[in-house]
Amino acid sequence: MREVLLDHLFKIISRLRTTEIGLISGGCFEKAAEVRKMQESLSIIRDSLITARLTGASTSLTSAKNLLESTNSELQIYLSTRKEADAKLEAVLEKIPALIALLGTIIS
Amino acid sequence: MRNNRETLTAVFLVLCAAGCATRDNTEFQLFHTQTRILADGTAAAFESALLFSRQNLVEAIADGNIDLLENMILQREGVFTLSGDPATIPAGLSLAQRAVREAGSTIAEYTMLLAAITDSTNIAFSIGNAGQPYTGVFASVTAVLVEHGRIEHDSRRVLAAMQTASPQIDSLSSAMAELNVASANAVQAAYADMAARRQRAIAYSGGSPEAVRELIALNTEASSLLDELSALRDVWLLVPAVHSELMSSLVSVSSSSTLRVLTMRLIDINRKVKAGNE
Repeated sequence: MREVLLDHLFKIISRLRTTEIGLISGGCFEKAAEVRKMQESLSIIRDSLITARLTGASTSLTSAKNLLESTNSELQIYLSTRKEADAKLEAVLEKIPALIALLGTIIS
Repeated sequence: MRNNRETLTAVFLVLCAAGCATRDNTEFQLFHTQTRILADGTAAAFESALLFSRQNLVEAIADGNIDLLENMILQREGVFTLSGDPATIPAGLSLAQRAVREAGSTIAEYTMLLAAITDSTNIAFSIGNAGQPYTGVFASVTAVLVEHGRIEHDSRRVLAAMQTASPQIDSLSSAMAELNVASANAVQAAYADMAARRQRAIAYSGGSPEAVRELIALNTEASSLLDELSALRDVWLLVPAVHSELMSSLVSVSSSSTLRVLTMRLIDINRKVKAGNE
């Protein structure tokens, strides 16, 4: 809905501009100034819609980012425990009985 | 800029079609690299949009928009900076840029973690490379079976994490796309105002070639910014699909390839034992 409104605003402002330029070219400077004021009033509304859109989308992005951050924390923990397990394995590689016992712990 | 867009899109499409059947994590590494580039590119595009928008704000004040200037001064507490006013588009773009940088960092960390975890250490290879006098089919088979268990373990854990992340990636990708559109709107608005001023000046003065050239240059700048934002939006919308493809590739890797590895390892051991006996 907001998008449609914004679209209309862009179009109306554009038409007003064309009208204004026409008036200037025709020498009707006072009328042109009035049309310019209309453009400026509409531009204020246009700009506040765009600012709201930017703010809204930024907020959504930040929320999504926060959720992903918690997934990252879990993955980080898992990676650390995996690295610990790898280090232990490398250290006891030549001892077969001990190796099998240790590997058993890692699987479970 | 077009080349960058085409390259980025091409890489992402290739990642989609990849469906790896090997145990290496190249696709994950590539995903990490490409999302980094995408995030950095987006932040840079927003910087350009911000500068364009600020240019418009400066012109508005110089053009005699006293209300605008007064509003901004009244809301100021410290040093006068044009983009400090929360109600202006440049302030919105600044906020957006910050959000993009933070989200970009988080997604880069996520893809980096995926790449690190899928780069699983191969126990059997470690055993083979350790150079220890290590013979025995039993020990080798045990090692490979354990490796199979570890790979299942890895895949299950990584898959679970990716499944949790999947809707988060969707939201992030949509929000990025929306933000690109909002940023494009900001560029369109700034262009409309700046073009209007120049056209007005041309109409009043009768149109110098200099002024017309300036207007054309402005148009070119705005168009190229809009193209870039549009391209970035398209690539962000591809990210969830690539993420899904990577998940699928993980599932297919788990069961079949480890059995293949087991078989190959057994054949290898047998060959070594035979060679040792001769």
